[in-house]
Amino acid sequence: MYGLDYFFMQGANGLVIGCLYALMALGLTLIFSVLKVVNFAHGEFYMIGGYMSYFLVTLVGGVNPFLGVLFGMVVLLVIGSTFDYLFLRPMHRGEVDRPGEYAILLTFGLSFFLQNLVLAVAGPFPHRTPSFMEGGVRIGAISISADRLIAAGLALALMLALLTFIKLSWTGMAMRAVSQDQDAASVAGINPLRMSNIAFAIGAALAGASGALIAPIFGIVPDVGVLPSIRSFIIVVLGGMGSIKGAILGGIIIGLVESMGAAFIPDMSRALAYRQLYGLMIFVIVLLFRPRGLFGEAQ
Amino acid sequence: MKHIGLRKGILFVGLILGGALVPVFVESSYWLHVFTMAYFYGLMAATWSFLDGYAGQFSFANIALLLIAGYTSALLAKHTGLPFLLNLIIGIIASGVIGLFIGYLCLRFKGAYLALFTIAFSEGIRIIINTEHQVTRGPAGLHADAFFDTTSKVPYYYLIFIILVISIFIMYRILRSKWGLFFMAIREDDEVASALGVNIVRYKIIAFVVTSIFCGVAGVFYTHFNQMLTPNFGEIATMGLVIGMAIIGGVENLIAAMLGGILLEFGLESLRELGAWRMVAFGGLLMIVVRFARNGLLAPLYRKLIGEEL
Amino acid sequence: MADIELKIEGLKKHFGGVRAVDGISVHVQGNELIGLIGPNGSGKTTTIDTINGLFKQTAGKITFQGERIENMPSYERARRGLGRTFQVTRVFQRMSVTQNLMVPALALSRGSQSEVEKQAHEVMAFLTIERLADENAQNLSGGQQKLLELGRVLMLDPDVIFLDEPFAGVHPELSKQIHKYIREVHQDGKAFIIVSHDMDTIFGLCERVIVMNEGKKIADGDPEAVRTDEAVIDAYLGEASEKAQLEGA
Repeated sequence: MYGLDYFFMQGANGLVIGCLYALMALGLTLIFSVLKVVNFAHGEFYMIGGYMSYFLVTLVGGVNPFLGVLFGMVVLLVIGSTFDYLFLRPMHRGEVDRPGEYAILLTFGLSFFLQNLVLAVAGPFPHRTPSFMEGGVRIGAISISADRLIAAGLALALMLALLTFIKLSWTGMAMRAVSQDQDAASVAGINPLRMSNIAFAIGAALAGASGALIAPIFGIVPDVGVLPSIRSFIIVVLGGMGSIKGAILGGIIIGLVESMGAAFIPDMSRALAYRQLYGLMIFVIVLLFRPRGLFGEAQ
Repeated sequence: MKHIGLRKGILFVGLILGGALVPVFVESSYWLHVFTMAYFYGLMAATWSFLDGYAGQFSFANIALLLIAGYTSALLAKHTGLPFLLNLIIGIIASGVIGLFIGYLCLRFKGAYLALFTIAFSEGIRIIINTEHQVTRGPAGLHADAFFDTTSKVPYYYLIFIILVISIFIMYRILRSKWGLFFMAIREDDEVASALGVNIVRYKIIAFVVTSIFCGVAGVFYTHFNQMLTPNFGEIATMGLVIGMAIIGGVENLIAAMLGGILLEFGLESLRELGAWRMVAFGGLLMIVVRFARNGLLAPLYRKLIGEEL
Repeated sequence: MADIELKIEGLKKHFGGVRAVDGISVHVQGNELIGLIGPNGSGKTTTIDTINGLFKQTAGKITFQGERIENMPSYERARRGLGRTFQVTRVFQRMSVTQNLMVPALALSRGSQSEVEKQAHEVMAFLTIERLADENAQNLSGGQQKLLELGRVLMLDPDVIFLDEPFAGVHPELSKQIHKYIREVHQDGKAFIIVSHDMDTIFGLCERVIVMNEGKKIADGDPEAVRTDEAVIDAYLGEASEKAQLEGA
């Protein structure tokens, strides 16, 4: 049916795109870890990352595409921090009855707001951001575009930077303390509100980076974030909510599953459409049989 | 049956009379259409209030259950010679049965996990309907027969109006009965409810099944009113709209949620020229209500006027 | 009134490596008034949680009125006559006091809504909280919530009532009142198993005292015997000396 070459090609693509999935999922898991919030606007953060990059590089013009990614991240840092400050504080302070639902509703409202804001301002038509670099790389039967390699490489670099930050920096340690026990951290002199704010901002920025990095490859459109949002949930549940290595491993796995799963359905048009379904099936199976995922804590 | 207070009686009678008289004063086909859709959304918002506001189950599955009923009914009409009414009933039963199944699976989930699981279910249904286009005509949508052999919107108006009144009445009675107290106890703390003798398995499933049946009713109505059903209607955005309507009205009050659905649909229709900006405002309103007016905008008003929680 | 019999045999509850309950056997017959004490972390609350069905036991048998109940869900055990309160009150926050009280009685089909509402008012009168009938439980003070929890389990009308720290964080006046309510309900023929750190009250109130330490039962008898039991003194002193060591260090 399909040659071995095809599998390797799909596998390589899966790995590469998986790095980008992992980056976005990392942001989601960080937000969950520190704030205990499942962020339903994560897809829109991703989308805005792409649009901000487009804005700077194409509309303002004459700017290095890499700066577009940086710009996207900065904008999302601001959006994330502002949203947390304005809307999530009561939850951090313990003033809310059903904090889980509160957070879902707020981030859901934010997702509505952002998606339609971009739609209203930029219109429904897709846009393309310029490539980072033309051309590609060829190893044997596998050929991957330069854009994808650069995106994956930068994603890995960002993930590494984040891991270093969390493990080695003072703020990173403080965030870990808050994620384990907000009250204990508070008593130890750490400000949980500030740490939550930083974590949410960084999480948003990671999603934005992912969006900006993928934009040259797939283009942008106001609802470009809807599927990645669901995919991020799948990855985070698979890896374990709040687990960093879970998000990274989960991202790679889902990347591979989506790329290679298509090979199992002979009907090409169906195969592409059902790609998403594979992830959803994994999602459902994990939820039903091992809700804590690969590396999460037992419930 | 507990004696209905005077003020509540006046409100209900007023709403019913008012509703019954609308087509007398409103002749525009367009506005009757808007009313019809408003009642439809009112019904959907009420079902969400029932499941989340009262029983505490934050489920995204309602819209998928609507799709299931609608597609079942329309496909039966297309491929079998069964009577129209039977198709509708089978459609509703289909969503009831799937609702039972989902309710059973959801027994083990709470909060965000319940939300995520039901999103997965909803998305899965939507993707399957979208992809199996040989059966469902995919994104192009499935054509469905109309209820009535007329271009007038009046019979549709009265049909949804009667459906709405009966559905709300049934849900109202359930919520005022001991079942309502059990739902609320489950919402507040299901472990404690169980420790106090409430059969939480039975009542959680009942909550799902009742909700599914009403979503099925809404689904078959929508399908044969719109004469078309597309998988896009089952997107998370639509569910989000319904949830937002219920929350803005007041999710823990059935009537407030219903009115939230009706009024917001009117609002969104009236502001049609604003295009996507309407939804920007909707999203913003939802965030502001959740942050600053957790009980919704209409529920406190209801409480003040009527003096009761429901 | 049927004769009460609750048999717990070899009950264990392990959380991974932590052996919260490590082989407890207790036999309760008739309307006993039992105190369950032990140092912090000895497994008292977990024992109640496991008997009541909040947790599934790791091993062991629970027989109530001749029926094996250890595989039943909480609500089945409650229906058969096992009730409990919680260490940190868990009232239904956004429901009124009356509604809180009505739930268990309705769950056990003790009458129509109006009949059960009357019963609720009787219980509120007994606990002198009638004026709070329409208040949302979240607006009650800590002590009032404790009374509400007590009232709720009374509405369940169980044969055996587990009270988890009914006197904790409650001011002395209210404590005495709760003491009185327990005595009265006990006269009516119900068995009580009361977890508390308040030694004086336990020894004053209970006819039988069970002591737990590190998940095991180390003493079981009348208050005087338990009070002077070497193992019990050791357990508490052990806790005290550990504390002293930590403070000195």
